Amino acid sequence: MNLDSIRGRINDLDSHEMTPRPNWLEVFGGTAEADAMLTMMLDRFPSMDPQSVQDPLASSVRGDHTPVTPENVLIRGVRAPGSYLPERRLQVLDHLGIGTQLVFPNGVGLVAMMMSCSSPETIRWIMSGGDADLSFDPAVVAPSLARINNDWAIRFAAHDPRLRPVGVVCTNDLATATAEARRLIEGGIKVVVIPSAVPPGDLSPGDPALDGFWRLFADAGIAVVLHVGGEFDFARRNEWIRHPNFAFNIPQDVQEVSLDAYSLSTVHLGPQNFLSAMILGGLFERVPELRFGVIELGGHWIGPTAENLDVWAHQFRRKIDLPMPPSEYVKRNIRVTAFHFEPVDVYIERYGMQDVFCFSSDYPHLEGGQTPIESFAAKLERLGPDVVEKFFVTNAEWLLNGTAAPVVV
Amino acid sequence: MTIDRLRGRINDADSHEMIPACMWAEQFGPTAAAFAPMFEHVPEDAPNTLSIKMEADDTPITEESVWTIKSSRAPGTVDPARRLEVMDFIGIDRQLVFPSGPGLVGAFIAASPPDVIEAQFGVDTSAMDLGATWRALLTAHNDWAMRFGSIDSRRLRAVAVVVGDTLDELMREAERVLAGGAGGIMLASSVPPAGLSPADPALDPFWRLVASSGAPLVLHIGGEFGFMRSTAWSKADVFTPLDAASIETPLDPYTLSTVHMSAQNFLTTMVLGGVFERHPDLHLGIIELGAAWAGSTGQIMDIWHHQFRKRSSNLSMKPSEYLSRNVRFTPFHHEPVDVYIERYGMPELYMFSTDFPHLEGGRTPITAFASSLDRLGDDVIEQFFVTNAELLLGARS
Repeated sequence: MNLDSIRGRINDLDSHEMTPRPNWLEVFGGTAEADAMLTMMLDRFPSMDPQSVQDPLASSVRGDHTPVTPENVLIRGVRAPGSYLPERRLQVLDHLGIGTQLVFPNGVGLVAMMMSCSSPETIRWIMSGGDADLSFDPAVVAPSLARINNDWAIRFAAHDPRLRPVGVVCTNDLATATAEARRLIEGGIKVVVIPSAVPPGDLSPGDPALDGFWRLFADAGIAVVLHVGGEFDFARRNEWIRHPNFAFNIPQDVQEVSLDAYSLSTVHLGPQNFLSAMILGGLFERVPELRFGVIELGGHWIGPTAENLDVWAHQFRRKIDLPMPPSEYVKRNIRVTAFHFEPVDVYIERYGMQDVFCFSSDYPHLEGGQTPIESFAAKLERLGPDVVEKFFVTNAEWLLNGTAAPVVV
Repeated sequence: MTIDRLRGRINDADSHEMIPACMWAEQFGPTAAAFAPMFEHVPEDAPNTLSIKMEADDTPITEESVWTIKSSRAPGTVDPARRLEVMDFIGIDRQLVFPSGPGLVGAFIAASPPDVIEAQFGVDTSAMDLGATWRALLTAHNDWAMRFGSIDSRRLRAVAVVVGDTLDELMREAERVLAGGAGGIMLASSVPPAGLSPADPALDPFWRLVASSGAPLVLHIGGEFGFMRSTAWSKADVFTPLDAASIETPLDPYTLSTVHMSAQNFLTTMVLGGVFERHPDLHLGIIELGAAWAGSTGQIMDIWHHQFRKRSSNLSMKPSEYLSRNVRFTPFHHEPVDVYIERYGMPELYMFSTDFPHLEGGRTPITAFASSLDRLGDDVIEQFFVTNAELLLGARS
């Protein structure tokens, strides 16, 4: 398929900073508090190693200086060009034909997300395989790490409007979350991520008591997203994963999700639950401007979920007074990314979700694949140029709330 | 389409005992009787109520009583001989019979943290031995199930509820109830059996025991409590449940939209963990948990299994093929099961159920399903109402 029509205008809803561990202090530090926190994390969790075996050569990597070439943009891991320096990430975007890109955390911010939703047992398991010293309170550390990530995000965002670093808001405590959200908005952040396993402020996400929190984002035109990495301990028990086929059987940048067939087949359950409570709770009726994204959690479930919500909303129509079926709120307010090997064309045909699915590269993570643009385009071509345009460009604009000017390549 | 040709041959994969709380002492014994007062506040006209003050199962069997009374007052809720008459009246050959009372209370207590138990039952758990309580309740239910089914073990398949902290405990109770004629083994989908992932080969003796008995393994709504770490998700005014006495599940749109997640998680561990590869004769029914997720779950497991094929080489088939071979689902009567079959294929996955005498079963489930499936032809209708359920109901004579 000829991609010239979209080149330079593609919106990418998932990528990551992937700062090598030796560079964490210089990239995320700078204040005494941040340096102390980062030093503690690096000391306590020596196996918390973003380099890992995604790239066997990565353990010796410092800095971001791999040349931006057609071959090198296929590298996954910390050795990828543009792994954390904004000016070099822009070169990569130009090379790939991407206009605007969300940049999620890989290191500090992802640890914050994980700690905000995990029990000490889970934190030990994820961060160290089970024996780490956790003589600190994760409930205190998580928002502190989020602030360190967010300081970086605010600095990163200032480089160019094409780069949209994502702020992390730990929602365990609503007052803390609200204060951090205000700081992010004032700092120019356009997208925030929250953990899907945490009922915000211990409330159901559709509870009217949370309307003020959601309206904060809606009024500012800021998108709220769920991204993989915020699902830990959604289920009360952890035994499910204990099987040789499953637990962390690809060593990796540990905090996001265990890369195994069981975890990835069920990782959407937390977000599915979160969205169900939001939609059936009438949130998108009361706050219609809220922009909501579900990123790197697969695309297979959103169509069946929307239809299932329609079924139950109809059955309880005298109880929940929504003027539209839940699936219409999905189409209006929610955007979803699929993995590059999912049959997104089939999903669109089955469920009529052509306005919902969006392109993402997950650069430079392994799960993003090496040629996601070509892979998605090949599937969608048979649905016509309008669907291709929506998928690669238009749909994401709801979350990006305006994109940077097209890039001439 | 005429459904007359199905009459007398229909297999019903979901129905319930609905013994009123006032009879629990005589039917289930003292531990169950201690929980009976929790239903006293529920009005007798509330759906699914067990609070009916009645002395006998004597409501006449009529078209109206069978399909419109959704409480213990329905005919055949207590007496197995009258249940057979109700089945004859409807045109049902064989039927799984699940708990409404102590079996569900026991599963709830076994699966839930103390604060949730206190909120549900208004009891002070600090003064209770919770483990002894749920064990006594489940034993009482299982004893009842063996008695109930004994009147006609081919047609009445009363399901036992088995929970255990150890493999030995699981094995002992499963051996006891299977030897006593239980029509199936129900697990709580939110509880890792014996504290193990269902995928763990250490559970193989348990799966082998059930498979070799010919009885089905079932996950039924009511076994999901405590799956999610937080209980805050459903705490919003709009999700206040209907005032129904059954503790099977809160009847609200949020809970019913997400109630399948625990079973989906359980099923995924079994399939991707190779349980059905190691136990090809193990038959799993997923009952009253909807079917909107069945086909798409098969497909996403196929996708991820393919991505990890080098690391999951212990599966000789695609995950969805294990669903076709080993697993069956009951959709709710208002679900578009015809659309599911068109989309995902696998017409063998779906089974008819009445959920008699519960409210959620609807008043005209046979005609509702039949009219939905009519356009797919007689073979699909035969599969749905008769053949597919034989995986769960066919082995015992």
